[in-house]
Amino acid sequence: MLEHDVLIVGAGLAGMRAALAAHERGANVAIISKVHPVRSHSNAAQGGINAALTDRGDTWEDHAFDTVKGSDYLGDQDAIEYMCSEAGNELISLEHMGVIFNRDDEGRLGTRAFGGQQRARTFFVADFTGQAMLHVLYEQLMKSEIRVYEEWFVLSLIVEDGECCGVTVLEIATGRLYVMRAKKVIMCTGGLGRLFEPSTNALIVTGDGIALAYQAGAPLMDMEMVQYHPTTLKGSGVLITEGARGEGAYLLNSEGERFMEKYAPSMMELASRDVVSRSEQTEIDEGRGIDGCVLLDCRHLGEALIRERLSQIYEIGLDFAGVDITKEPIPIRPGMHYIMGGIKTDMDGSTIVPGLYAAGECANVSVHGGNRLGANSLLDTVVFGHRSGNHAAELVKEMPYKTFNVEAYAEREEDRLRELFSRDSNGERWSQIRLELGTEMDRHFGVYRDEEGMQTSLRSLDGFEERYKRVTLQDKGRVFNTDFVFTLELRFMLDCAEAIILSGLERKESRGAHSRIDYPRRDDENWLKHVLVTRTDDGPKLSHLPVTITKWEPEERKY
Amino acid sequence: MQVTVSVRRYNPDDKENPSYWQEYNLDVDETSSVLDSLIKIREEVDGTLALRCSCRSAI
Repeated sequence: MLEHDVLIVGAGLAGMRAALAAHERGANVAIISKVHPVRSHSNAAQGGINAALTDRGDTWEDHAFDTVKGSDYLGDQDAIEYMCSEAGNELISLEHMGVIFNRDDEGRLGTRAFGGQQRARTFFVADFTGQAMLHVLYEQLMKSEIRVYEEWFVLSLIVEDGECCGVTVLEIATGRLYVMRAKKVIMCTGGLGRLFEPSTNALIVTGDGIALAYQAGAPLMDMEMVQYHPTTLKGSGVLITEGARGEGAYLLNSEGERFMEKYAPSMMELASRDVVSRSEQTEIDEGRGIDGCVLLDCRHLGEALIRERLSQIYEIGLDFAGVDITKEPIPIRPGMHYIMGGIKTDMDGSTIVPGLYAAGECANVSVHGGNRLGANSLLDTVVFGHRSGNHAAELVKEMPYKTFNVEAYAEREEDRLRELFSRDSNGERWSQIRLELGTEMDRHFGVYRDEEGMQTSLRSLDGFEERYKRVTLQDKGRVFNTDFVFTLELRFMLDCAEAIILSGLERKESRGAHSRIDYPRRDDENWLKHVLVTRTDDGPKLSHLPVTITKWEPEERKY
Repeated sequence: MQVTVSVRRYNPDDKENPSYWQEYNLDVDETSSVLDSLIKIREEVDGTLALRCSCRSAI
């Protein structure tokens, strides 16, 4: 019997930070990850991590206000205050672990400007900050006695008497099934970007943890809040960091105008992401785009700065767009990037299901509300990964493992798999449905939305669900069967899509990333509240919760 | 653009002939990478082809 005090699903920044924290508290900790830990999507975070350091006259209160305003007042201010006040400590401890942040001319930790913030407080490692942090946390993990189940895939959460006490899991390399017991389970599985096509997200980002928690009865909150990043490549959707604009790059329309003057005269290209994405989409829709894109112009930054601080996107421009960004502007468009919504948790990472926690992008604490500021996601992963790991490890030693019928769970999963494998091989596969789902979500849940489009998506989802019931495998082997794994991922994706579509239809106003043509204004009187969706025996149920306001009353949002 | 992709396959379940070459002919965009072609095979031609990849942006 495999069993661990604290079991973490996902080995990105949140998962590893949680594991290290729980391990330090003496718990027996393990991580399950469907990929090798350093392949986790935290790896793709480019621009940096925000923190207000007092030695340069910054205050966490200013950072918190920028975050509250960025969230379009939907973020819970107690959680935002905690995240921003802890940022300095987390940053310094990352530096002490070995993250080699860029330095300024005086040798102190250097900063760059980022969107939606009144001052430069984004600490960075060139334009591969997430990768640098991920590798350093992985070193710490290697040093510890934390067991990593690498390339294992969680099939379901085990909930007995309302309490989460384990998982069923597939070892991808062998195709063997296991039931694993745990006293606490922390979901750190990241976002769901691949529900959208295109997306900046890696192919593994399929909403697994969000769907697993949803299936286990945990409410999902603010799922309508999907961030479209302003600078992604057409076609592939590959990310071009906000750090480019932070370093001073311009956005130009087909007439060569810096069009952000019209939309955000004071912050210009560094307004918050929802604002910049809408502005770009408006330019494109009104005929001032170029082949569905606008231009990002880095030329005036100079080759030296680009090659030093923006080296990854320099390579990406050459390899994926055929553009040398030191010599010409690069075509970009808004593209799906991040889900602000997720599994509803309190500040300790606890969900309403006892024993089940969540941290990082799959969770909603909520610190991002309607729109996340760039470089607040890395901060979210380490602050709340740390805190949830600490909390889950408390008292865990004295707590007994819950006893349950292990064979019954193993048999239930075996039956489900046998049925799927027994279907003939000639039917429709996961890949066609996944592509259509992605296209559908991008069409109706992108930068602008309306009732008709979202209703169309709801009907399309019914069709996808029907087709999924008959989906077939081409690969009937057990060894490293990715055909099978992708088919299971599609189940998670359809569950996440249900939550996004229902929440989007529910919120009848425009706030943050949820911008409705049919309800163009923010409506604080009726909608200054969270939207939750919970799966019940009678289907999904919608409900609301008030937003926590501490210091900052909602105001009109201008950049 | 028509291309032929030759893949060195490995199947440990096949005790007699675990390792072999397999050819796929397919139509890809001029700008496609090798990875794009392999993903296209996996999604549209042969679901038994398994490979590790994720970020698809050369990180």
